[in-house]
Amino acid sequence: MKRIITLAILALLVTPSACSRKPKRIVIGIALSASYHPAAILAAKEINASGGIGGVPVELLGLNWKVVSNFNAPDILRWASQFAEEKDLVAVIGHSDSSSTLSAAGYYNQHQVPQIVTIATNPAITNIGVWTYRLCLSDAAQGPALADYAVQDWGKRRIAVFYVNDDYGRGLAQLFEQRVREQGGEIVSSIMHRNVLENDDQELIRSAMMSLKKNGAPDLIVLFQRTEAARFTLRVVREAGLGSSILGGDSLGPPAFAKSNSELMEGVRASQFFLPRSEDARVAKFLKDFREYTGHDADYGEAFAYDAVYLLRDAIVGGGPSREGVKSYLDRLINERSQQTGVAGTYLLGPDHDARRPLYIVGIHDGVQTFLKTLQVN
Amino acid sequence: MRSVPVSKLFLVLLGTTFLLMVVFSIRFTYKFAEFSSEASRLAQNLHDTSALNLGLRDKLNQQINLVYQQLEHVDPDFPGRFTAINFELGEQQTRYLKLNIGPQERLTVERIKTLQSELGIQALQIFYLLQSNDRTQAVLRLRSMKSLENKISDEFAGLNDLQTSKLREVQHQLSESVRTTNRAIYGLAAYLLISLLGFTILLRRRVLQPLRLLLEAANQVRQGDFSARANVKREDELGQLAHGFNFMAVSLAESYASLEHKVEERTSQLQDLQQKLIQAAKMSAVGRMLSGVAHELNNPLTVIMGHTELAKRRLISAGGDPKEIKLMETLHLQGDRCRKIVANLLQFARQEAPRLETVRLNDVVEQALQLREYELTTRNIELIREFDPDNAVFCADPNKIVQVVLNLLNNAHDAIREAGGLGKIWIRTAADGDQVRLEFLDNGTGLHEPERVFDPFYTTKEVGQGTGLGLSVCYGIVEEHQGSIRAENWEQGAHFTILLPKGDASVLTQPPEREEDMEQVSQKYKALVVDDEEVLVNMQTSFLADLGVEAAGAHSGADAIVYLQSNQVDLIISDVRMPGAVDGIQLYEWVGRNRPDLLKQFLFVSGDMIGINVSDFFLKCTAPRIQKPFIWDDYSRLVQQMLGHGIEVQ
Repeated sequence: MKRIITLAILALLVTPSACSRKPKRIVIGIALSASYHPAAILAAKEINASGGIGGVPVELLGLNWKVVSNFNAPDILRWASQFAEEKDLVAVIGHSDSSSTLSAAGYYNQHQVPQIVTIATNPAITNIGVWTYRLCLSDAAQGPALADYAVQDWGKRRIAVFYVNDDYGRGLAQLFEQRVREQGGEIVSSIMHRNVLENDDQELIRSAMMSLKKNGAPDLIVLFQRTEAARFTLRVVREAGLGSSILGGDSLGPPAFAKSNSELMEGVRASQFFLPRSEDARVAKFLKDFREYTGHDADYGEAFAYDAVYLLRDAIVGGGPSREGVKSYLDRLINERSQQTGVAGTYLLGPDHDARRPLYIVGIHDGVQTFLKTLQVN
Repeated sequence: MRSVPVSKLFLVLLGTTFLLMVVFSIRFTYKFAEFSSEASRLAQNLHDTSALNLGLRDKLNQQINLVYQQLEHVDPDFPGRFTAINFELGEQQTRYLKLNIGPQERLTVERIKTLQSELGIQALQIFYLLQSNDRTQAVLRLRSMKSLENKISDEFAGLNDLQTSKLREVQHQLSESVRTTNRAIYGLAAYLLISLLGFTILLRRRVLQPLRLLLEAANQVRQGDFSARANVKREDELGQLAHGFNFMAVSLAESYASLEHKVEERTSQLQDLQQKLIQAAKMSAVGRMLSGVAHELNNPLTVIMGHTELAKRRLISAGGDPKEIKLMETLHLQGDRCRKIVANLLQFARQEAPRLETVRLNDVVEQALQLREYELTTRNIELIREFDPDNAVFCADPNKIVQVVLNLLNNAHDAIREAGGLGKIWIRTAADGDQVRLEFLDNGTGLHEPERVFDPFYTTKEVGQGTGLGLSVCYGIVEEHQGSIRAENWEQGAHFTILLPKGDASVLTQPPEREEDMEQVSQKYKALVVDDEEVLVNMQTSFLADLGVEAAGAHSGADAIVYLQSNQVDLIISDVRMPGAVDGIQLYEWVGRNRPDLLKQFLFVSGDMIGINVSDFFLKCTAPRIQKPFIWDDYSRLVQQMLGHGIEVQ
């Protein structure tokens, strides 16, 4: 009897210490395009320089994954599987686009891996699973907000939409067009094309532009495209000389695109998730360090990747170095409606696991973004 | 090898069985619940994916149909309608991917999604071509779309196969679970059977068999066979029980043997005691009878012997006829013979405790031998002494032992005389542990019935040749001395063995000094003789007168008291038993109260000491006494002693 009691006491003593035992490794999966890696690396370096998390350095897994722009489901699932099987991995940041995110989210939720979505905006990601959390806005908020701005603030009635036929463009275009119609606007044209433009896509865009010119230039041309397709479409628009206003989605938000395509982007307005506020010391430091590290300015994708790493740091400290611990911390933030502040701004994780943060409209002039308006989103 | 305790074995067996049952039950329940859950999940999954599958197909078919409709009529709303379906498709695909599906299924859906996306592009391009009247290109595009449609169909077929295989997997799992359950149940049943068998064998070998052996041994012991043992050679609980039983059987056997021995001893002792009680009863009965007879004979004998003695003295002093003197002597002798017979009878009947002294055996025996040796020698009977050189000390009344020796000598003499020839009597003394041994052996005729020689009145002599009380008296005296006497025959004659308790040599009693002959008292004394028989009063007064003592007589205790109240005397001689209100003892007590000066001058004359009160009185009383019928020499010596030799002879 004495022996049993002794063993029980020892077990009780050991168990808590076993639970609170310092892990040997803390691994965060990075399922982002290579362009967003420096931001994650920078955050991890800063954390490790200050002693890591509880004395344990942060490791980033997936930096050798060269994400191609074309959607590759097997590749995505292979990496998702690799992330899930890594026993020291506490969460994944990614993926870079809505299609990849939607494809991988099911796997992560099935295998109970916390997923922090940074820039995938498709509405289907909302409530995709209890293990997925999104730091950027959903298109369910962006689309209608942009439509309201276009129609009400900007006064545009006749609107042509060019969008990429994937989960990003399709979702955003659908919600934008729906809202425009609700606001009394008219969608004069809705052109869908591939992510990587092929000849027929280019031909389609040209012919659509000609048709618009023929039938009367729209008030507004809305581009829910990635940069490559957007560049082409803008050229066509300029060549067509339609004179329409141009509004871009968040994919046209990176300042680097505006800077490198200043002529094409002149006068274009775009939605933006990230306004670099240099008056904020932390933000200023991030911008400075990032520029020094990469040689270019950070955009919202990089800022969100940076914030995601720090959010996970806080989750590990507050919930424990485990997947369940991270989830419990993030759920607590949701339940407590706790406002978080990152370099990308202040946000709140909603009950649907989507962030609540402001949406900005910026105008591009001489390749430089200028803040125009903060849109109210739900 | 030390045996494992049975209880531990059973505990282990039962514990293991119970534990296995519990584990099996828990596992079975868990597995069943898990399977149920899994089956439900799979069923739901199948339902959901099937529904989505159909939904996707349906939406795609709608899109494709819309496209084909454009061939007939270009609908300006086609893009809106098409993208609306596109959006719905996107939602359904997302829902599909959210389900818990396998990687193959997931990839298939992704491929469908990709193909559908491309199909959407083709469809819109066909529309725009038709819208711009480029039907040729539109038809060409339609072929591409058709190809995509076929690919999508193939993917859906693959999806169906996957779902079918999922269903098969469910069935397989169900079958496997049933098989596993059956195996587990069979296994459990087999284990239970084996356990039961093992338990039964264990019970039989480790419990029932030893118990049977124990029971057999117990029955044997119960029937009196204490040599029975439980042959259980183990060290577990039953082995220890068997050890305990065997030890108990050994102890029982020893106790039984001891008890038997003790019973035999006790039985023997009881038999001896019974014999002694019978003997004592005989003795007591005879003694009581003899007491009465002796008492009645003593007085007339006293008179006869007294008068014959007196007459003989007077004849001698008067120079009478020698023949008359001889006649008186003969009469006195015969009277004395009667006295001895009565004395023997009284000795036999007397229950008076011996006056024990610590004396040396050889001395007492020698004293008795000297009394008869001359006579025996004259009859050609030799006394052969084989005395203990240590001359052991023993506790006894020496006078009584002398009597025993004399009686045994008489018996030996009679037997030798009957046998004829030269006689020999061996007398042996020895120390024998805490006892002394005295043996008499003769070469006479031997004992005809050695077991009856100590019975009263048993005699092989002719009528008138002996009373048959001599050996009975010896028996009584030896018994009084806490000793034993045994009679047996040896090769030459009779052999008597007497055992008596040894004494403490440190308290050795000195033999009494021989009394000197008493002379007539020189002083004139006066005595009072008290006896209820007048003839005895007259005889004593005459005798006293011869001694020069003036004697008065009283015929009762009361008369004596009256006389003493008004007369002075120097000596009171009183009978013990007297009729009337005052007997001799009461007279003595009166003298003690009223004339204490005469208490030391009180002499008792007694016929017997048989009565308990009398014998008790004389145990405490220090007054001298003389037994009737008495020898006149003894009487006169005693009187002279008490009066202090001062009587003038007239």
